[in-house]
Amino acid sequence: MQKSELLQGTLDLLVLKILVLGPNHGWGIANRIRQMSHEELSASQGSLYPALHRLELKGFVKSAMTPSENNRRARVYILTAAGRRHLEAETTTWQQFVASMGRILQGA
Amino acid sequence: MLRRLFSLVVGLVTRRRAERELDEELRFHVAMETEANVARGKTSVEARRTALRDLGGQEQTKEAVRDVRGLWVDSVRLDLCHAMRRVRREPGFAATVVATIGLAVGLSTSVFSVASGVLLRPLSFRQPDRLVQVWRTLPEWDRVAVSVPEYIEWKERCRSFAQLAATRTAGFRFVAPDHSRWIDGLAVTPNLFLTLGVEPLIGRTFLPHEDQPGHNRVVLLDEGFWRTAFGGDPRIVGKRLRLADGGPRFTGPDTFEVIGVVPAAARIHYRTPSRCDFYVPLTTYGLEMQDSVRGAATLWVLGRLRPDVTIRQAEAEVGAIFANLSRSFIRDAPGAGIRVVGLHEELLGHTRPAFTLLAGAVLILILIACSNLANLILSSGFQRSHELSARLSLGCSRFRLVRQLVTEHLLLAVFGGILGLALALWAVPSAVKLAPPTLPRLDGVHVDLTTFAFGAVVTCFTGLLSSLAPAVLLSRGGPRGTSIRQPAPFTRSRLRGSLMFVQAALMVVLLAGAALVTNSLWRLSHVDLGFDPSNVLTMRMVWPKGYAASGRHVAFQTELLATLSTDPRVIVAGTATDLPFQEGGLSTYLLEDQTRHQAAMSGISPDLLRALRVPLVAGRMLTAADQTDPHVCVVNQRLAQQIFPRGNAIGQRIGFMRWFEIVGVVGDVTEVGALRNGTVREAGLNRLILPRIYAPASGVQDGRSHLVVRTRSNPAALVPAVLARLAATDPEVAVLEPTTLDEMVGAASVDMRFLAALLNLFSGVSVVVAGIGLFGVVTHTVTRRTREFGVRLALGATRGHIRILAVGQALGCIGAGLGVGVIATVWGGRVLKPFLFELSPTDPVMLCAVAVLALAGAAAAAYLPARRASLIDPAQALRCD
Repeated sequence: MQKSELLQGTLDLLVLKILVLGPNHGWGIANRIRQMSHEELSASQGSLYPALHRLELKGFVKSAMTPSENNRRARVYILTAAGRRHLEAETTTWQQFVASMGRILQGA
Repeated sequence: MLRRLFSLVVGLVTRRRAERELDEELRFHVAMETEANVARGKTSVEARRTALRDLGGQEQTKEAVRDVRGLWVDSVRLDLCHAMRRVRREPGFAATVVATIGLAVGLSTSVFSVASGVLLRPLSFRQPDRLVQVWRTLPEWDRVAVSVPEYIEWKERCRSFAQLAATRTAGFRFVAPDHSRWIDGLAVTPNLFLTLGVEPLIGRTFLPHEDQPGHNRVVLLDEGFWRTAFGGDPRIVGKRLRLADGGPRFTGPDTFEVIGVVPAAARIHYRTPSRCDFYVPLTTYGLEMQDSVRGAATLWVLGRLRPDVTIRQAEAEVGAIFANLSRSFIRDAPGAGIRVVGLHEELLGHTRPAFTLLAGAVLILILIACSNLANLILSSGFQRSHELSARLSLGCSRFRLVRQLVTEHLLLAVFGGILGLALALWAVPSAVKLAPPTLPRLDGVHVDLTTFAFGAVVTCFTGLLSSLAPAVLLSRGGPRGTSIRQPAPFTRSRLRGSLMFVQAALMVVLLAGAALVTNSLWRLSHVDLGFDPSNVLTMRMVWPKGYAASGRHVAFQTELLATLSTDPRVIVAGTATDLPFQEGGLSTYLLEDQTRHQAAMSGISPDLLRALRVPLVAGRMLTAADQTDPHVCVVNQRLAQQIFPRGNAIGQRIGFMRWFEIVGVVGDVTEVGALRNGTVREAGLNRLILPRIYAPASGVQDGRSHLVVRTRSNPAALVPAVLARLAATDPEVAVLEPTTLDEMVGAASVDMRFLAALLNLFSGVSVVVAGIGLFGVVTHTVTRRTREFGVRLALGATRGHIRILAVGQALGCIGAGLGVGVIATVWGGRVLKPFLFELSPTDPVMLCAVAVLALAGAAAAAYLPARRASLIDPAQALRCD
């Protein structure tokens, strides 16, 4: 199964989008990305966790250690208001970008 | 940015928790992935392995998160731990580095601390940069005091000054209820403290009308005198003091009202080491206004420039007035002029050459230390090249490696810096204690925050300078597969060679400087003085009021000298108004052809020249009979040759207050007092002899006299006996500063001795440091080339040949360095000029001697390891790798 590499800078967007659905932990987010892209996209641990911590530092998500299934503790990430605004802005930008790209590629 | 910084700080505090949670987070991820894999039907072991494999390196992930979180501080901490481990493993290396940097930091910080307290600190007056001193100048004298009429003319006419004040020295016998003693101070114009911008500690300063007769019996006390004599009594203001015997020019009653106390920081005369106890109005000394006194130099004039006026403009303005109104003075003294100089420069400028010299010496020492350390780091880095190349090949970045090497070294540098500051804490107070009294403002020298900041800067500077180049070089070596078995790449030994070259050059400069100053000092102490200072006691006597005018001082001196000559311990005793070796003022005298000339004048007792052992050259000495009929004098050879070049001095007449016939010519006496003055020292011995006239004391009226007693043994032991005889003859005569001539002669070169001692200390340290460095380098070369030497020996090389091979490159570099150092000394030697006496900074004998000495030292340092190289057993050397 061929898995696409994530485009630079798109991981942040995906993470935020997934967190709109509700708080989640790192593995959950990675799993969701895989599922929602029908196994076509995958975020490696080496880029996912730095991205999560970076988003937290920027104030787009916050995190807490919470008890999880099987008596484990997991760090759960929650979208903040600033994160939601950022997601909306970035989504618009992304859609404009895709549209422009599409027009050019179709026109060619 | 702020948030990043905040997170950095928080990250530091909560570092341990963050690490634990990060670990937990990743473990959770692995566990979940494993479960997911199990659900996909894998066995649990396989599931976990797949999970770990798919996820990539956990440590890399952690490192990436740490980077995001700003936890890189951790890696610095790791470097530091690593460095500490190295310190423990190689205590010898660490100790050398710490000691070298400690020495460099300690010495430089100490010199900086003293320089900043003495020279760099601004004067403690209001807007000190506007304060200037105004001097008259003569062709060979750049500081001639000003006469009263000139000061008044300038004050009235000059537009350049907001204030112009004048001072002159003053002395009184301070009569307390239970004792009396001599105090020194200044007679000043009332606006002096206004000019300086000094506020009194208590009371007030002078009012403008307090220079008027009838109002001028007021005195301001110096803080120091107030504390020692009155215990800092705040009720001193309004009290009356008896200040007697102000000298012949002093007129009027001798009771003064204390109006205030001024801070000790208000001192304005640093060149005279004597203290300043009080200030009285200038008019307590009768101000002579007539034109004939323009030749009399009594006043020191200082002013505050108007805000928009430069020093040059003020100088031009005063110069114009001077040229216009002081024609009679300029006629007598052709080439006279005006010089205006900033007060900071005037009071402290004379210390600058010494500090410049010391700063240069310290900088050289620091550079030597740095190049030495760089060499050491290279050597030790070479021993670690295994470790370094291993790290490089395991993916450590070069930047990271350089950072680690520099961090390691900086840690040692910080230890060195702490050691250095501790050294400064000890050295600065002892330097202040040992410093010559000619160095002003020593009370303001402290190890303070500025000192610490300076020390920190020097520490970082030396740390970085010495470690950066070797670290960059060492970090380059690895990937090409350098190992301990191969010789170092060429660049390394080239850096090593240039370091030794630089070290040798710098060392020579420092050595040459120290040698030249020391040699000057030796010459100075072996100057032919023209008199014999050993076993001579001297002291100053000040006559009570009216003594000199009534002629009683002659009777007193005759009686005193008669009683002293009965003492078996006394060989001969005499008195003089001015001691012939103590650069006094010049007076103008007339010849019979009405030409005017300048000479120093001494009124002496018949035996004075015999007491000093000044030889008679022609004619006769003064006798007791001349005292009763003072119309003859003797002159020194300098005057006789200058004025009467045909050798016909005897029989000529000289006019000074009255006419004197020259009856004898005596030998020249070196003006030892002038040796203190750097400008005179530069000009050499020639300037150290003044034309001088010795006339009978009864023919010269003066308020004071010096007693000179030649003794059979230790003169200091005779002080109580002489003081007792003085008191028995007349207790009203004040006696000051009993000392020996040896001490006075020594005092003239005391600042030079201090400087020479410091320079010798610095160059000694530099030689030791450079020697250790050379020893280390040759030792290292020998170790590295053991196998090669073994092969050479086995193939028939002689042991001498091996020795040359071992030291050849090192000595070659050093020889070249010595040459360049000598050239640099010749080029930069003018810095030394103010401290040299009858010696050129490019003196070839001295420079050669220093170079040969340095080369010999280098050879000695290289000899031991070279010898070891030649004793290598070929069989063992070949087997050892």
